[in-house]
Amino acid sequence: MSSPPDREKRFQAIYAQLRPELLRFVRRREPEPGVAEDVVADALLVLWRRLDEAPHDLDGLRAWTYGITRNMLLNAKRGRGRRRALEVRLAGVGVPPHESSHDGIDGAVHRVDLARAWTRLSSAQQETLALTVMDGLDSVQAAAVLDISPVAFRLRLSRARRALQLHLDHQPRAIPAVAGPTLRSTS
Amino acid sequence: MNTTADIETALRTMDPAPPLDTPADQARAAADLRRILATDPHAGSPSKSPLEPARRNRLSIGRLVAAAAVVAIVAAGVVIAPSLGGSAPAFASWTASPGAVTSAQAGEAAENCRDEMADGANDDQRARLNAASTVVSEQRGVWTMVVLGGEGGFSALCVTAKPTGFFGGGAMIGSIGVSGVAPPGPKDLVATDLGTAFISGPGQLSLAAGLAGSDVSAVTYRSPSGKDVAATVNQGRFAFWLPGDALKDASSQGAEVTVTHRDGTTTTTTLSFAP
Repeated sequence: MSSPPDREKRFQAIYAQLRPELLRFVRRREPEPGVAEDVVADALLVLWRRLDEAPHDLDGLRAWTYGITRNMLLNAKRGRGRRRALEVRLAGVGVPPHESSHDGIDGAVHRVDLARAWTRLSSAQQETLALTVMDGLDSVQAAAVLDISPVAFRLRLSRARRALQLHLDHQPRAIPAVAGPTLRSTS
Repeated sequence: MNTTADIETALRTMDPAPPLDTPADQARAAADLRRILATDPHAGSPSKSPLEPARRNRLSIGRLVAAAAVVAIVAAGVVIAPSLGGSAPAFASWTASPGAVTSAQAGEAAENCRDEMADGANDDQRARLNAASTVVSEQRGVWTMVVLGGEGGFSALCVTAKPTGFFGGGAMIGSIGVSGVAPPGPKDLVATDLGTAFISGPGQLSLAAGLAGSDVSAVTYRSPSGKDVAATVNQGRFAFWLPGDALKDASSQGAEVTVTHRDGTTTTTTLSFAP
């Protein structure tokens, strides 16, 4: 166990490094203003109290703290058991139901198509991809966040990538008008 | 065909959380750090954050937008909000007076509520859920409300609509928690849940529930449109809800209701979280 001043100094360094990325981690999953700051503050309070048992290497510490933060957000959302994953939204893209899928740029990924394909992923698939692509975690870290094995995570990632690719390759061309918004269940 | 690298490059450009380093954010970071360092580092993992009670209350009263775009504002504790898929039924069938629920329907609604709220609940809440009994059950159109009550001010509340038809959607909101409110006097009420919620599709609803004194036999709320909404009163509890945002300010300003006592007299009182 480190002495109090050393402990405080260590925590301050971790706080400065992790708080900005934890805020982004939560904001990707919870758009309500102000919630991210609250959740991250609570997660870092847990880190402060459990610092002595936290991993000492930065990679391990990041994954450990992300896991705490994720659990706190899940807890705050009080989702159902079937909602064990956190949906991840994408920025700045409306998805007009009748918009043309391609803008004539060969080989480019059309953001509208991608946004639409993204919404067709399950929450678990969105979260798996986001941990890698947006949160920048490697498979070992992401697996630790989800409390699964790295092998299981890589399998999930592979499936999520395939699902997104599939949805992108099979964009609906004509969607009949549907009255009212649709509630999506998540799994 | 797009490559995985192309797709993921595009995804990164759609990150909804760009880096943020505003003066306000820096001030919040510094304030949070001060508060954290001021806590006892050896107090163990907090089951409840000691950080800013008011902030915690704001979080727990349900400003969260759950993934299915449902928000609940509740005081008892916590939020909720799963949808069941498909489009949620409209509120068109809602009635100002609650309909009866058969014991079989009440039992099913209670079990569903228990299941829904147990998921994501902590061990203490699960134990309380298992021990809680149904204190309110009512039907308004296709919507069923059930309140499970337990010792120590525990309550869990669910308003649900079953999926209808092959593509029909269902919806559910609810709350779970231990109310810190003191028991009301014999002729009084105290709210444990008071505010508005939102369900994608039918829209907003206003909801009130809480503890009723032993001399309270009926509770009526007059909506802004002049409709008298009758609460269900049972076993020292009351609950009602109505479509719309009539109670949007009620959590802070209270809501006027008419209370009928067992001797037939009535009084008007302001429903709030404090008796």
